[in-house]
Amino acid sequence: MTSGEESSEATDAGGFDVPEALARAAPAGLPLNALTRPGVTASLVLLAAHYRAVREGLAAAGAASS
Amino acid sequence: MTTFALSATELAAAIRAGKLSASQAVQDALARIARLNGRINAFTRVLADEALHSAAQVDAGLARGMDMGPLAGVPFAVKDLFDVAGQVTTAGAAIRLRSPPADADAAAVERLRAAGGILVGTLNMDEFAYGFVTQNVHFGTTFNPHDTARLSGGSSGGSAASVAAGMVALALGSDTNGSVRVPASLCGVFGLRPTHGAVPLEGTFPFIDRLDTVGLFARSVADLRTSFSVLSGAAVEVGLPGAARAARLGGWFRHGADPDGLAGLDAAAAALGAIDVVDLPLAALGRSAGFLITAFEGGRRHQASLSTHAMEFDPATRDRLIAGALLPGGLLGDAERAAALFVAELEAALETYDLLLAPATPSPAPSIAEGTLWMNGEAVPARANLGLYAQPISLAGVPVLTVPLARSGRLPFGIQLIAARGREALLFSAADALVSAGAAAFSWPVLAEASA
Repeated sequence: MTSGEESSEATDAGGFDVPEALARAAPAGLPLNALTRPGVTASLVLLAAHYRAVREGLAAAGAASS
Repeated sequence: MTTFALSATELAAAIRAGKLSASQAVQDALARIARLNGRINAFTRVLADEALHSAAQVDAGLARGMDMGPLAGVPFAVKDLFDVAGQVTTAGAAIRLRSPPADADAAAVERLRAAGGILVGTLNMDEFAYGFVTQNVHFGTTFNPHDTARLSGGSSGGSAASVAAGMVALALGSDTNGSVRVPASLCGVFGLRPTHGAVPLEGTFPFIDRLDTVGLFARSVADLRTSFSVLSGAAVEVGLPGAARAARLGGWFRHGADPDGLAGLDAAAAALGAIDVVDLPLAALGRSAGFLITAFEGGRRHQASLSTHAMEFDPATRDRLIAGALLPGGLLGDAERAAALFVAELEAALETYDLLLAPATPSPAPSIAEGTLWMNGEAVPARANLGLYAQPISLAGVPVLTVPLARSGRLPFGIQLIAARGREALLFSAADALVSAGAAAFSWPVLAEASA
């Protein structure tokens, strides 16, 4: 996959739950504000797409985690 | 004698022969940096007084008949993530400016100095080495010497640009996911990512421990060979026979690549007898795995700083690191298993073939204003895609030599020569063969020629 990380495409990329990841920011002391939220969200969407690709690849290879 | 155009080994030979002093070589380098750095922005710090002092010591030693080392009197510079005694190691980050100066040189810097090299300054990079563009909100953009409207590549962009522009003959960088190979390709210089661990990382600011590799840039293969020998502490065999078994990587490593660049790669491959095309079907999986491992471990490395000083980070780095710090913990194991699958596939190919060839970047240097490169007729973000062909290879820790194709009148385009661990000598021999065949060459940028 090429990386459209500066776009907001594929919000349902699906490797993990992006809203759930965003919710971890406050407990971890990481700032989500008007300046950071768009970029962090776009990055998480891209990472979720990569994670979905990894899980699919592992499943295809029969190497998925239990 | 015009010294800027000499390679490191030529400079060292001239100084050893008494045709040139180390002091003169350093003065020439400092003058050229002063002339060009305003346009290129490769250097973050010039250590003029220290360099001239070191050069005088080399000259004094040579005058007494001492062996001052294979790089005696050769000016070099280092990416600003190598510790330099007495200087703050910024790693391209403003928040690091408050850190204390380094107590000692990084091991690689120490080894180059012990071989007679003269450190003249530190070089620009993406913040914390997390990028392929060397666009740094704190220290500025490093511009490509071949066209200052274009990216130099990153994260070791200052290193590649300084060598391409003739400010130094030799520069250190680092390569985690492609940070030597990408800027070497875009700036048209030779760049070596050695076998992981072959050159000590001690005294470098870390990014991803399992992938970080000290790398180097030069305008000739001989310079890389000599410098790698110094840095690794191992003799490098010269004159190996050409690679008997070489192949081009297909599939992922050709999909979307610049057709003109691919034609050049194919011509270079033919010169090495590399007719076969090998597909690595798991390369996309490897790329995703590398992307995730980097985000996960990078995010956790910087989480504490982000929780207190996030708004002092470069926004382009900050948001990706925060995202990485928010990834679920279970993801890393899956990414590692995926990486292992691809590495096994690559290592199997390197049992069949001594040498594999692939583009180092999808395209020549992208325009800074556009920030995109073209793949399959589509403009995609340069920042996220310049490392597509370099990143998966990084996972295997194998040595890769980026070679500039001979492309008269066109922007540089580099190819990766990939071998099994510990086979740097084979890479040097293959690169020599490409130069001899006229398939690879360093070309001076017009900017540098105009202001020589």
